[in-house]
Amino acid sequence: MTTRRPLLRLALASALMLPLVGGLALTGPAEAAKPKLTFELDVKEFTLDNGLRVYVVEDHSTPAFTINITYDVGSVDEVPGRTGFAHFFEHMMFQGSKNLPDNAIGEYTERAGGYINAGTSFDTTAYFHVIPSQYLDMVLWGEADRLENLEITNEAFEVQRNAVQSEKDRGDNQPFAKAIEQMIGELFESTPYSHLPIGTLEDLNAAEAKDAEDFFKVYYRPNNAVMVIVGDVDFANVKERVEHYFGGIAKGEPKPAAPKGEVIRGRKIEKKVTDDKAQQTQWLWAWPTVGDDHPDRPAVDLLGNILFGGASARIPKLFTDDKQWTAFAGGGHFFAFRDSGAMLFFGVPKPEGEKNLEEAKKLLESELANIAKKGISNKELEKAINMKLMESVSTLATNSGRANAIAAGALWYGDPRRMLTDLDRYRTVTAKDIKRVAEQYLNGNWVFYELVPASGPSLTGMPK
Amino acid sequence: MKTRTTSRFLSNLGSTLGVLTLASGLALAGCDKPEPDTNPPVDVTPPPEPTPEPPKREYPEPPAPSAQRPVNFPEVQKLELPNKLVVYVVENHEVPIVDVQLVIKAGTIHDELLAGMTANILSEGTKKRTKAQIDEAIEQVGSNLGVGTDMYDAGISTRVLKPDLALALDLVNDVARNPRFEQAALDKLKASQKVTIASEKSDGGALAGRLSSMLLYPPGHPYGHKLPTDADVDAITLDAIKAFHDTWYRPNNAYLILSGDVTKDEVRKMVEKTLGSWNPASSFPAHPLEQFAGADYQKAVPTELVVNIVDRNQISSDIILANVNGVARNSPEWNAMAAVVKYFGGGMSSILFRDIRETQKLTYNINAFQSSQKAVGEFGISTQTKEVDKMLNAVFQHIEDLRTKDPDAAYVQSALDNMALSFPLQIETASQIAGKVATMLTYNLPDTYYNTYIDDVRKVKVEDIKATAAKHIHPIPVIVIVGKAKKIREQLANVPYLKDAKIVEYDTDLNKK
Repeated sequence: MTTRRPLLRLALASALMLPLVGGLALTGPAEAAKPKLTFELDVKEFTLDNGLRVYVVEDHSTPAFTINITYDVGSVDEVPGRTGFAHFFEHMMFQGSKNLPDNAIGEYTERAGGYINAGTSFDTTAYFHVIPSQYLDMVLWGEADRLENLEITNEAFEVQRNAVQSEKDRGDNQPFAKAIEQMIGELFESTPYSHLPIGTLEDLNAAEAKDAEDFFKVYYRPNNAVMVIVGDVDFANVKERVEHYFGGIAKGEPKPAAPKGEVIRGRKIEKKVTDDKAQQTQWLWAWPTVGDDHPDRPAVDLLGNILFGGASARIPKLFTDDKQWTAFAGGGHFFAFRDSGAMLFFGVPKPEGEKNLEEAKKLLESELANIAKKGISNKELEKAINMKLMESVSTLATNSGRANAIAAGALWYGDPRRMLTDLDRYRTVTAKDIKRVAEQYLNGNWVFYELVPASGPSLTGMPK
Repeated sequence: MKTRTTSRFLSNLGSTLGVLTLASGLALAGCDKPEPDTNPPVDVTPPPEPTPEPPKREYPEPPAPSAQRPVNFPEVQKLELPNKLVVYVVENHEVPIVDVQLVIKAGTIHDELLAGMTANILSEGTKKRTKAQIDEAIEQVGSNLGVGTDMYDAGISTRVLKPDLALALDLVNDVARNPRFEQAALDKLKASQKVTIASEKSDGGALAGRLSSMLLYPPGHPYGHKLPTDADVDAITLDAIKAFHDTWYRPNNAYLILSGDVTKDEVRKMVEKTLGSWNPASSFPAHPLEQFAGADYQKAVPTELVVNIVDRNQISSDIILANVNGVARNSPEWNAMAAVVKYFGGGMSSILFRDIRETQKLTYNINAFQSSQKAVGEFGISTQTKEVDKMLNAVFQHIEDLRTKDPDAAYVQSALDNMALSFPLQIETASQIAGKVATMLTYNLPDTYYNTYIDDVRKVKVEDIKATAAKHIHPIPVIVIVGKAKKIREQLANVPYLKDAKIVEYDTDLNKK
């Protein structure tokens, strides 16, 4: 069950599930006069002997809590011939275990008034419940049972194979789904991010229950997970109950390192793809960038806001308001992966824009050159930092937002307050840094896809 | 929060915006009358040979819950300005942000294009600020300004850090009241609107939803707008937009919700200084729903089975089965029908999920739904599948069972428990509570609606399910399937329930072929 985030009804939206970026800047360098906002994130933590790391934020304002268990496994860990497996396995986790009949983990949470789901991204697989506080024991019991005693039967395997096939069909009904898959393949060629979490149909058909057993043994170990609980719980009680339910689960070997690979920069790839399901053209530009803890990441992120983020950002203002080529345009550092990344700019052109595509490309390239040569104003930098700040404060406003951010920081950096400590990374970015990363990462050597409607019944023009 | 860029893609503002109006409690007398002439669906496959049941595996019960803490819907502060604008304040001081939502009862119910384009032109420039200045001002503080419409309302919304609240109110006030209404801006929006329509036609699920609503409601009814054409867009004039704005954008036809790190005392002056000088109207034209009486809805109820196919090259087909169910949002039967919907097709415990996805393996996604409406709403099922025949056979059988057989009491109880126990999850954040305030105002629910919600849900009993389903779910639904027409026609031959059904094909403009 991949979490759906219906924010952009572009074809892209169905292809990705993005991990949350936990960056937070309090006051930008140009904004020292404003009252400084401070945030507390009172996270308590403990680690079981088997390596399970647990983080708790008590918030008793509503009698409910969110639990997020994130396993350090995503589509980046998949081997050739078994793409889509991390996501497929996520489905298997809702089948039965020693003490839970098939589907029961969901049914129990629902009858308790809770909501349960899970999501698989390129980097991680997260399972969560949002549930009234009186059901803490039930949730811990169920999660421990499926971690310790999952039963992988051929029958359950077929149920989920069918569900995932249908999920893929549903995504492929959207215009340009295949083209976007191909674009991501090119953008992240030679890295483990080059295939989507949903994987290929061939690999899905070839998978066997035995593969699921093996996958489970390697990745679903307490030392390969973090658990975050935010809400109406008591730390001492959580500690005691987690030890009770999870303490006896055996520690596993450290997971094998995910394959590594560097993106290929400086290539210009331009393709035109048609699709008879579409009646509207879309433009997508992308540039490979850097991973999450790369020193350039905050500057790249802020540059994304300055160039593409919002109606007043440089490029959407030009394309949508001044030239009126696009009905909508936007973007930013959209592919925010752990070890890699890419900047995205999308436009939904009007007929006038379609006529002027070559002009549009020239203008985009000259704007990129301009920013690389002349840099940006302090006001633009301040705006970008403020956008980042707002994003982070909004994340902190909900139990689920806090839980997701803590899980990501804890899993990747052992730092549950990463979204706050990350602050310094953004606060120290200067206009000079932005100029430098613009020069380094963004120019006319882009991956560009022109996605156009086809009138005929076949996918003519689809590059092989 | 919606942004201008995405507002058309997020047309369904749902619970974040709402309306306080004349209760149009249009009773749908007789809506449930048509009974099927056809026989109940017959299973095409012969019954399997009885095989000895394997001994049933015993599973333990999960750990019992601890004591439940009381749940209270928080107090919502209210203040009314002399111009009749009502301001609602929902306090939550956990993080220093404030959500600002100005809701004007000027949604697509009045006219889909006119309402939408009036809302969109607001932020294209005011008498005081150009569009670029508006964008710059709000984005400089890290936010954005959303404008958009849903069925009942137009909305202008933003989320700011607390120190920027005065700026936010100034901007919201300015765009609501002082748009420039320039021809160039309208021309620009018209071109964008055409793109939006083309995008809708590229989305199978959206086409299925649009066509089913068109077929469910009487011709011309605002719940079932036709897909606009480019000519319809071209016909919108600046004068019409100005008149629409002048008529409906009034403080006594609007309300403001401020939620988050804010108190009533803090905002009184700021609101008075901005929206306080907005002139009320002395009267408003009749509400569009008033044109329709119960008999009009009745006429639209199908009396024969028709399969409506939108021919589109899809891998799996989008399917909607729906009927007008007679249950408005403020109906006393709402909770009972909500329980039917949850038991039947809401979540992993539902009949449709357990049987159609997990046992018959026909889809990833199948849901039942009930639309919130001021007048009579809609009950429906939506899904996608490659196996249209097996899916329809299964769904028709389940509908028949739901209407005629006693339900599984344990699963009904589970649905009712979910509805009652989930309430704290629905009021965790200030924006969720603001959404509940908007729901009460839109559908004219009593002020105490959410204070008594849990008790009201607990009044629904297992025995109510069959009767409620029989009354509000029709055996002759509107049937819409989007996919490859040739393949769907072949599959329909395997659906006994539809053996005499008429088939009507549409193109992706939703014109009959």
